[in-house]
Amino acid sequence: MENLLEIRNLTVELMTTRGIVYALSGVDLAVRPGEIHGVVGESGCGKSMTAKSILRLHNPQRSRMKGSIRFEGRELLGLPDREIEKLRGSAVSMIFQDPMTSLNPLMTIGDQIADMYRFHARAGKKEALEKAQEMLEKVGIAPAAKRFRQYPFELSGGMQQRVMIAMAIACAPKLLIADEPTTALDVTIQAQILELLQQLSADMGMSILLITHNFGIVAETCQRVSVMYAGKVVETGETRDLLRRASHPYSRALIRSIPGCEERGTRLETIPGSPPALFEPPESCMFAPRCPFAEERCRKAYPTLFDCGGGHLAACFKPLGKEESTRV
Amino acid sequence: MIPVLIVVSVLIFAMVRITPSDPVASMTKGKNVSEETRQELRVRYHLDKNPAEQYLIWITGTLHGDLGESYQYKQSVGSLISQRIGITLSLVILSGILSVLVAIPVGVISAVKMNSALDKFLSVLTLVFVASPVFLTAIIMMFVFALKMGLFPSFGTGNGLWDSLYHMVLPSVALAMNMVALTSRITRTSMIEQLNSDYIRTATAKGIPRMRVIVTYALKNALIPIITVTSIQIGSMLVGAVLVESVFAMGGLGDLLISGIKAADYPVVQGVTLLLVFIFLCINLVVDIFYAILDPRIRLK
Repeated sequence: MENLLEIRNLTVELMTTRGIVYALSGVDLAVRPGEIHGVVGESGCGKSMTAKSILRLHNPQRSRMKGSIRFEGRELLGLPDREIEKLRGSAVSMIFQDPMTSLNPLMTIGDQIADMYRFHARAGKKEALEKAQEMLEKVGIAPAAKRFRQYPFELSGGMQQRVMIAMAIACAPKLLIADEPTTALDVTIQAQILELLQQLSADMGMSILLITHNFGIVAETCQRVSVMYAGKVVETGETRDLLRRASHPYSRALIRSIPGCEERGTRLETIPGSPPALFEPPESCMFAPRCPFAEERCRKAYPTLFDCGGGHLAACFKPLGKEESTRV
Repeated sequence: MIPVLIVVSVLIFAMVRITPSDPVASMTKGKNVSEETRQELRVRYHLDKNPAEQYLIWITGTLHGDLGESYQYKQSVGSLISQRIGITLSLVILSGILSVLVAIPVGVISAVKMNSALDKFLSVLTLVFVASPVFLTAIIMMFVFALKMGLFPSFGTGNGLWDSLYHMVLPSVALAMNMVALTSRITRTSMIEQLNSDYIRTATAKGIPRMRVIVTYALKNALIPIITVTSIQIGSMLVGAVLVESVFAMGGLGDLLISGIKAADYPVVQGVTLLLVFIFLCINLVVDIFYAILDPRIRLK
């Protein structure tokens, strides 16, 4: 199957006052048409950076990007800013973690959605406003005619995220990047938003790149998942397969730390230590210092990808369950 | 607003009288007058009564639109003010418009091109402007553009609309410079804050053209602190206008106020000061209305 989005060996270096930060060091990621693809990892592992790189949302003067990002077969990395501007919101759109601050406080939500049509579909003002109202109904905001004239501060967090989604899907994008869309919301609203995203993805045939730190969300919503650690994708595969037989020690540790997987009364597992600071380009496995299975070679070179079968890849010298999978 | 005005009127009244001055002495300056005449003057201007009575007479008159009679001009303060207020107001309004028209674009450009050579150049330039007091700027401008280059008149107010405007150029630019500096600094800071906010990231991710993101999204949100500073600046411009008017010999309210203070002309000082406070309060009211138009969250309260 042809991939909708294909990221190959993407590196992003950020110039900061404390030196160069190697935010991404060779990310490989592929999103298929219509799928919901999860990206999980701890804070600072490069999830959001990967997402922002696709639409070039970080400060271009202070960062350097290398590698390849292909969308529908077209290379995005060398494209002029104007072309990226056209792509934003039309073919690829994005929603963010904090809906409360992500909407313009001084514009009615109707106008904010209508802007999408005015700039991408070149619609007239009246037409744009009508379509915006339809969109609000589509994301379950009722009564749309009344909500339409309200300002963001008059809506609850869940409603605001629905408005963000309405805006993002207004031009029927092929890919929606959702950067921690439910982190700032309470659990019941979380479930509603995720359900809405799943339903929209199915109805519109839209792929979603769902960025989260919560493996539970991935398990419920994503067909495939990539696990990131310290600026690299360390494991990728079908969600069910990866959950059942995670091969990278980091993925396995992450899955173990989901509450609810163990019996009651036992202590929830955590991963000792914290992710490395990324001031040096990685030359060996970045997880080695925290890995209970690390050996000499893990500290000397970066592991090659291990094929666990069925598109399930892990960047580890000693993938867990290797014996089992070779036995099968 | 009304309680504020009452308190301010008491303060002004008291302050004028606390200063070590004798109106009768300055009225009769250099002349040999009898004690009878002095007493007559005191009675005529109610200076023989106790301060509370004097205040009541003044404030009742003021409420009826009568600010009293000037000791030195023997004219009503109201007519003195109305002869001169036009000059001061047009000076303040002109330099207000001028400074906002320059300051906002300068601030926006500095914010968008943050830390570039252009931004640094503009920063240094505005710092020089903000550091130089308005009378100095006025004198330097007068020296360079009026005396050396002869481009503009160096004093007076001119006749007719165009000639008046022509005479206003140097004074209003001199007065505007200080304000340009501060307003553009505030615009820059406020714009940088807005440009780094989440909703700007959303707008960019939506594919809204950069110009619209900067102007309709960021600038509109950045406007509230800019308006606040501008209104305070316009208030202080009323004071700056006093200085500029005297440098360019324009004979506005500033001139009147200064001569009033020198001559211990209580009604003039009281009247002009109260008027300036009143204008300042009106500006504040207008600003509050602006806030409400701009920000729906303020409207709700």
